[in-house]
Amino acid sequence: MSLRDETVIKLLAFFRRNAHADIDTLSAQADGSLDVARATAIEAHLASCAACARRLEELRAVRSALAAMPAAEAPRSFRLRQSDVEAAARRSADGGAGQVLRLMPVMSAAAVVLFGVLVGVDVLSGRDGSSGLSRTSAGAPAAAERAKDTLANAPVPQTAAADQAPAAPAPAPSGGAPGVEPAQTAAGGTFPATPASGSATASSAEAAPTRPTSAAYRDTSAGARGTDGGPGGLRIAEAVVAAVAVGAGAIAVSGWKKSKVV
Amino acid sequence: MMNPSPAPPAAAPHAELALAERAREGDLEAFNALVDLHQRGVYNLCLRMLGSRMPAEDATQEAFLSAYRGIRSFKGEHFRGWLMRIAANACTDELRRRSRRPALSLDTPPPGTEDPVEVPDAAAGPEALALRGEEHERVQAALLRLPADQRLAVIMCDMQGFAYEEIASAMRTSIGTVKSRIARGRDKLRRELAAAREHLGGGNRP
Repeated sequence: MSLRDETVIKLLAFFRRNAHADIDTLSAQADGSLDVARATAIEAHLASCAACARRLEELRAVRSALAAMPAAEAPRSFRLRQSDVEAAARRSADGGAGQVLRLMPVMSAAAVVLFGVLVGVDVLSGRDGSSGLSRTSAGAPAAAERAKDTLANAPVPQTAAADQAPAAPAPAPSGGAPGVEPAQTAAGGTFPATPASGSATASSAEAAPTRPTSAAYRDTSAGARGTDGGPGGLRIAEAVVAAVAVGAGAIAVSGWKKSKVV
Repeated sequence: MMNPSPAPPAAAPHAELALAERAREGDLEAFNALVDLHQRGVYNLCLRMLGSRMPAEDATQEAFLSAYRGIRSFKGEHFRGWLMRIAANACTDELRRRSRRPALSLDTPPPGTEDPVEVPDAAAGPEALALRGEEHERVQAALLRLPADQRLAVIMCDMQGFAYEEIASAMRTSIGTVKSRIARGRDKLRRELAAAREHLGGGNRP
């Protein structure tokens, strides 16, 4: 028995076991891009599944309907004249303001990142005895509110979390912006509570805040080493501002990334 | 199956590349030769992405301007795909401009200022023409309700006949992602069109 036959048999078994073919398979079958083995298997399934057969039929109808849409002629010639090109060049040259506007999110994100790093470095290199609250606000802003209560009684769990943090600074950026929202409210921040970063998965949008965040984490480990219960007030403010800064950076960058389809 | 926006009469890729090379050195005439080859495809992409003519015309113009000004970023892959990506971005910009001015929103063109996209078909009788026009409007409306990435993938694949690879290169993503966008887009269109047909299926259709 050839490998291909085995594949077919496995796929046949798969389709018998599973009630329906998935949309990717049906869509690929509709435009004929499935390989022979998979096409054979899906045909076998279709023979006994009216629902999938109908769905495939409708997908084919969609394709025909789209293909039947008339193409328009170009309403005019789009050839560029030298004057168009020069006008566009002028627009973007003395439209320097426009350029600046477009770069605004990037610049603000950069500023915010820089600020976060500075705060992190400052705290790291400076005084010890950061309070437990400062740790939570920086490392896990989402828990900040809750932590205020917890802290009064038992700051211990946060310390444990902080110990792991330097090894794995990853979780913060992905949850960055949504997590930061409580911190924003705490700081009375006026940032729009965009769920942007939550939905925008652009990787570079998440890459940017990584540094300040891990800086904040380092801060937490420094804090964890320090003796407990320092003055903390200033540190709390710094940490909250850093968290807000990271969140704002994430929002700004993702908003900017999201503006392009492709 | 008929392909309504055929690729330009197969300008050999190396001829295109040569034109692009000259355009890169500032030869506007060479670039305009590329405009001649691709303006119909770009305009139709914008028309289907945006759903009406004036914005499509603006987006097409913007796309060619951006393409000329950004020709240095063309690294010699598929010129058509590269151009389509610029056109898709021009459409996004246009959509954003319009969403800032709600009066010009896509879904509700102000009466009298925008005519629905319809292309005359001399071969059909008036009644058939009207029915077909309705169907086209339904398809176009359903297209506009797709998320932009799915809309672009479906338009390029099923209306403009691009290969998966070209779409992937234009959208700077993997073939798998392209296939999945197309599948989800088609499925959503399928549901909408099936629902519309059922809704209208009261026997007044031939």
